[in-house]
Order: sequence, then structure tokens, then C-alpha cells
Amino acid sequence: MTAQRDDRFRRLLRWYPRPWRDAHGSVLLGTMLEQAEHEQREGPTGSETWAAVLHGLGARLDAVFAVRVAITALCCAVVAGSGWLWAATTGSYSPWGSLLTTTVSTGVVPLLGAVSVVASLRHRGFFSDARALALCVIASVAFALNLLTQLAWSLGFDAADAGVASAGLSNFWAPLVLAAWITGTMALALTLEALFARARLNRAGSAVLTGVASVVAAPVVGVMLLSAPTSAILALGAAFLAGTTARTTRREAATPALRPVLRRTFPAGQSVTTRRLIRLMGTLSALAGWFGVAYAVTGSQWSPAATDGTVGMRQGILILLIAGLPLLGALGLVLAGRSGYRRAHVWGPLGAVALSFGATAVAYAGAPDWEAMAPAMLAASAFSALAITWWMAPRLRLARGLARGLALTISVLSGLIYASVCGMLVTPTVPFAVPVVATAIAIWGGRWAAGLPSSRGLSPVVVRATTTIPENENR
Amino acid sequence: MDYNGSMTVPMSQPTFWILIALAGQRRHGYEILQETAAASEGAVSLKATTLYAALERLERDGLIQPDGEEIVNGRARRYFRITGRGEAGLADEVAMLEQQARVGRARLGREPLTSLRTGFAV
Repeated sequence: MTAQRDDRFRRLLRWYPRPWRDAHGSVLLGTMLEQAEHEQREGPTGSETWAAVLHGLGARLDAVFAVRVAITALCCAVVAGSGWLWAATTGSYSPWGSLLTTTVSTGVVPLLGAVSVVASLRHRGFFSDARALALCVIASVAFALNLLTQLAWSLGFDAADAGVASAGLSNFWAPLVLAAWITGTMALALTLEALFARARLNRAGSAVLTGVASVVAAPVVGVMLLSAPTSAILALGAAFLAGTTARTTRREAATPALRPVLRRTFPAGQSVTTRRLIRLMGTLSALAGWFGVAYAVTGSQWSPAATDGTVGMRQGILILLIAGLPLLGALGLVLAGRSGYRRAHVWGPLGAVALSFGATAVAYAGAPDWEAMAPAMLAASAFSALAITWWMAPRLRLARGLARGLALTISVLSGLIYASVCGMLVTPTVPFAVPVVATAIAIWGGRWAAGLPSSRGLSPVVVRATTTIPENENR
Repeated sequence: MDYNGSMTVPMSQPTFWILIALAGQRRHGYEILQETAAASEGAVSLKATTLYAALERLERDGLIQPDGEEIVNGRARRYFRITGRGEAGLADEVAMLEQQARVGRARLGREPLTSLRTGFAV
């Protein structure tokens, strides 16, 4: 009887992931058996089984799972984005290809991104096991309904365009919208309720706020995630969150060994002369940048070189790109003074951004002929992707060898997503951010470069240990 | 919502009684189950799986820590003890409960008269 009883309890451990079983399985089994013996039971109760199922499945939603799912989401986004880019540049169109790309980019990618976020937040203690599991199930249904809603609308639109009566899935558009709205509201309510409870809000006020915000936000979020770039951004955010969740876990474990390294790598901030130089470069960049914006918008009315509006815009963008170069220098000095990363990991990504600016300038030399612009714009997009990859890789880097590979994978995929999904749309607008960022650097850059190093992501012990040493030197 | 040791989140009943069970003495899993049931006079009756989910969370938040393992009658036992942070969190929670109880007792001492005047208790 005892062996049979042991087996009945041992079977419950199958719900748990292997690493958890290896670390805690024998201790949990021992406790369950002691309790059963004391209560003279020959097997687990129903509630005990249910608790094991919830806890075991919940334990599977850990930081490692979050990283794996996020990487899958990023891969899917890259594949869908590459398909879209290939179709756009070659002009080839296939209905099934389009359906597949849409399903992956606006159905699979946001779902995987959301599941990864849920796993990260469960691992960080924001969600209980039951809530995290419920969220995964409800979010899956909501995203499936959201995708079906989009397909129904698309089919109905095509039918109306062709002048024929709508049929099949398109007839279910309204009930699909309602069902997607309800499930989306449920998923958001489960999320917000947990987050508001953490903020110790009044129970009634929190319930009202959760209800209203969920009902209003559900359709907005649903529509936003039907766009491939937005879904890709969600996947990027999920990957970053998962990477930092795993990093936090490992860093906590490795804190004593890491402490001297961190203490050594934190710089004491920039000197007074360098801070003056930062402000000067920021000011130059801001003045030239605002002039570039004014020239792009009004140049054709007063400049003899701008023969029409298009030429004026092109010349204005070229001015903005040149104005961006001292800004990149100032940004590099600020970041080098604040972060504990190697100089190559600060100046390397900024150098890639400078190359992206150069390629954009070459592209605009051929404006407005898109065919002449496209190769250089692609190059600009690729340099931006390199900058993103280089920037993320050391910052996501985890404490041990295998995790370092994962961090590099996430970073490379993020860069590829930018190049394939967002780059062609976002890169041309980047020059217009130059005067805004330069103005901020001209005003606050000196202070930022002198301030204490960023302590985000470090445990309080490490922060205390690392910040007390350079404090006096900085002031 | 789970207590995370930040003093901004209310402590749940299981968390409170687990910390009470560990205050001043290290205990293994089954001992904690017995102690929480006895100290709460049966108000909190945890399952082993629920206990380990809570212990995992409390350990992650730095409120408790493992304190050795042993094998007794062929079964593994892991001991846990409360940390300084856990004791501080528990002391804060107890102080807050005492204050609530003080206010409650003071109000209850006066409220019946008010209720009678408004006719509520008639």
C-alpha cells in the first residue's frame, strides 16, 4: 500500500518541469507524504491534485520559457517581415502567401509576445500561477478571434469591391468583433487587476478603473496589434523583458562574484572640459538641426538653391543628417561617462548610426525617384539594424556562456526585425529627431555626463558597493 | 496579490502565517504546515504544493532562505529560516495590524451609542 501511495503522489510531480523536479521534487514529495500519513490518506485529494497541476504548469512559465517564446516570436516576425519585404520589392503577390504573412505577423507574433510577457511577469512575481495560466489561455483565444475578425473584414471588403454578396467567414464579422472584444477585455482586466493591486489602490476604485480601462483599451490594443510593425515592437519588448528577467535572476545569484567587476567598470563621469564640449556639440547640432527643419519646410520660398518644395525638403534632410554628426559625438561622450560598458559598445553602435545617416544622405541625393533611393535606404536600414544589434547584445548579456548566446540571438533578431519590418518606414523620419535630441543634450547633457552611473538592474547591495566609491570624485 | 517585501503590498494570510511559523525557529515543510494550521487556529490550511509555491516566492523576495536538508525515514526534508528582511516585514505587518485593532476597539467602544441614537439597532 505504501509503495502505491508513494506512486500516486510521485505522479503529481510530472506536472512540473524537469529542472524544478530536480531541485525541489524530492522535498515536495516528502512533505506531501508526511501530510498524507498524518491524515491517514492513501492518495492526493482533489484539491491537492488541482494545486499541483496549477503550480506545476505555472512553474513552466519561467524566465527560460519567456526567453524561448520571445525568440520564437522574433523569428516569426523576421520571417513574415522578410516575406513582406520580398513581395514589396519584387512586386510579386500570392493570396496564400499574403494570408500566411498576415497570420504570422498579426496573429502568431503578438500571441507569442504576449505569452512571453506573461511568463516574465509571473517569474517576477506580478502574477500568480493560476492568473498566468488563465491569461495565456484567454489571450490565445483573444488573438485568434482578433485575427479571424481581420480576415472576415478583409474578405467582406474584397467581396464588396468586386460587387458580389459577402459569404462565409465575412458574414460572422460582427459576432467575431464582439467575441474578440469580450476576451480581450477579460485578458486586460486580469492583467490590470494584478498591477493595480500591487499599487495598493482602494479595492472598489481599482475594480472600477480595471473594468473601464479594460473595456476601452481592448479594441484599441486589438486594432494596434493587427499591424505588423506594432506586433514586431511587442515581440521586441517581450524579448527585452525576458532577457532582463533572466539577467536579473542570474545576477542575483552571482552578485558576490560580480561585485568587484561592476565596481571596476563604473566610470567616475566626464571631466568639466568634456562636459563643456558636450554642451557645445549639442548646441551646434541643435542650431543646425532646427535650421534644417526650417529649410526643409520653407526653403523653396526663399533659397535660390531650393528650386521647388521637393528639392527644399531633400536639402533640409541633408542638413539634418550633417547636424546629427556632432550630436552622435555628444551622445557618445554622455553615455561613456554614465555607463559601465566598454567604449566599443558605446561608440560602435553610434558609428553604425553615423553610417546609417551617411547612407540616408546618399539615398536622398536620388530623391524623389524611389528606385534610385531604394538601395541606399536599404543600406541605411541595415546600418540601423547593426546599431540596434550592437547596442542590445552587451546590455542583454547574461552572466554565463549559454545565456550570452541567447542575448546575442535576441539582439540579432531585433536588428533583423528592424531592417525587415520597421527600417524602411522609420529610418527616413530619424533625421527629424536630431534637433529635439540635440536641444535636450545642449540643456542637460553636461549634467547627465557628470551624474552617478546608471544603477538599473543591479541589486541594492551592488549599487551601494559600486556607487559609494566614485561619489566624491563626481561632485 | 503577493507580498513582495516592499511594504506597499498587503501581506496575504498564508504569507503572514508562514513567516510567523518561521519567526525565531527554522522549520521544514511539514512542520510549517502544522505550525501555520495550529497558530492560525485552523484559519489557514495549506496544501504542500501551495506551501512550496509560497516558499519559492518568499525566497525569491528575500524574506526567507533555505537552511539545510536532511533525510528522515527515506524522505527529504528542507529547512527554511526567516531573513532579516522577512523579520522586518513581519514586524511592520504586526504593527499595522495592532494599529488597526486599536482603532477598531476604540470605535467599537463608542459606536453602539451612535447606532442606538440613529435608530439603527432598534
